Amino acid sequence: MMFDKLLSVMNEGGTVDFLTVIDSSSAELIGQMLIMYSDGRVDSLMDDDITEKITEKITENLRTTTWIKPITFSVEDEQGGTSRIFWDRIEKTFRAVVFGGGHISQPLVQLLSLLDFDVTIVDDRPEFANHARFPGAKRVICDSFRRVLQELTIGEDTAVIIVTRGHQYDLECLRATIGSGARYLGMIGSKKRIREMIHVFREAGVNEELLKQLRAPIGLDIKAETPTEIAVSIAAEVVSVFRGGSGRPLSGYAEVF
Amino acid sequence: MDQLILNHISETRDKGEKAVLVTIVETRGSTPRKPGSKMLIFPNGRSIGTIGGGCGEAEVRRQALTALDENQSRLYTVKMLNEVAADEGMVCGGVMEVFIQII
Repeated sequence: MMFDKLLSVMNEGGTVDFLTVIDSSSAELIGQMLIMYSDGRVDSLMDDDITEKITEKITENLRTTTWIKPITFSVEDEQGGTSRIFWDRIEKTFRAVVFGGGHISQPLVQLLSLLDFDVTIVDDRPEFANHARFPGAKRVICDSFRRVLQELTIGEDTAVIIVTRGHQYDLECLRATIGSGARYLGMIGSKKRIREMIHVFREAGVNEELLKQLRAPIGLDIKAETPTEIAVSIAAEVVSVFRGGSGRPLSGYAEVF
Repeated sequence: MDQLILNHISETRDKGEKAVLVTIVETRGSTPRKPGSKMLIFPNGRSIGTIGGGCGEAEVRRQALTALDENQSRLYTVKMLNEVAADEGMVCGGVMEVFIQII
């Protein structure tokens, strides 16, 4: 069963392409599916001819372009019949690691889990790092930042959010994650404090490109004041980075007015 | 694809029951949700996920239940351009094509 196979890939956090025949001159093909795994392996119950045609088409497509969104395309079989195919993909689940379990983290973790992020929250104080406080978190880790930083895997599917209770901890977390390849790296702090930190990192010889990727002070400018407002501002910035948005209001664009 | 939807598809099949998976496959103009959005509809009308809500979704839901009765997967086009759509507040102004898949 194709859906079960998709589910097991998804549970493992992997990526897989799946194709569905949505229209065809051969009625029995409608609804048939094909799965193409990231290692190139193909699962299909359709005959070899059409399986090959579909596989060729996506392989060629993937060679010349990057996959952006689901599309439809048509293939022709040996008998001259045509089928329309819908190409969809299951992608890795987005992950977020939040350092610090304080008053901003609480609404932030809730928001991120609503946004379908797999959230890990880290704090070294048991009264802050517990599941009762963070019902939306996938993992709540209560340990020193130093130890956790050594063990966490951070990659291009991860948002790292540094909002600990003290600048020395923020600095420690930033030092360990700045070269990690995280898709989003944000740290809380006033402009003045951030300027000092950047200076420290520059002195230490940290690559300027890496420093430019740091989102600090964290969040979009919505004049947030309360912890929840700040959480909204951070969550919005995370989404805009993952989705490639500009962070600007949609109103007032020249194309609208 | 939504993990929750996949879990429900798997459960439904394990129980030997049926359901309909509706997927937006193509959109033109402005539509509330984009290609790849999915909704699972059960024979009793209960559903998981959304393809945009409103009248467009209600229309698709009726089509999906009909397709389930006939046991035939099919494509369906929802237009949100006409007067009815405007009257009913479907103001997105687009067209979306959905695939109704019996599972």
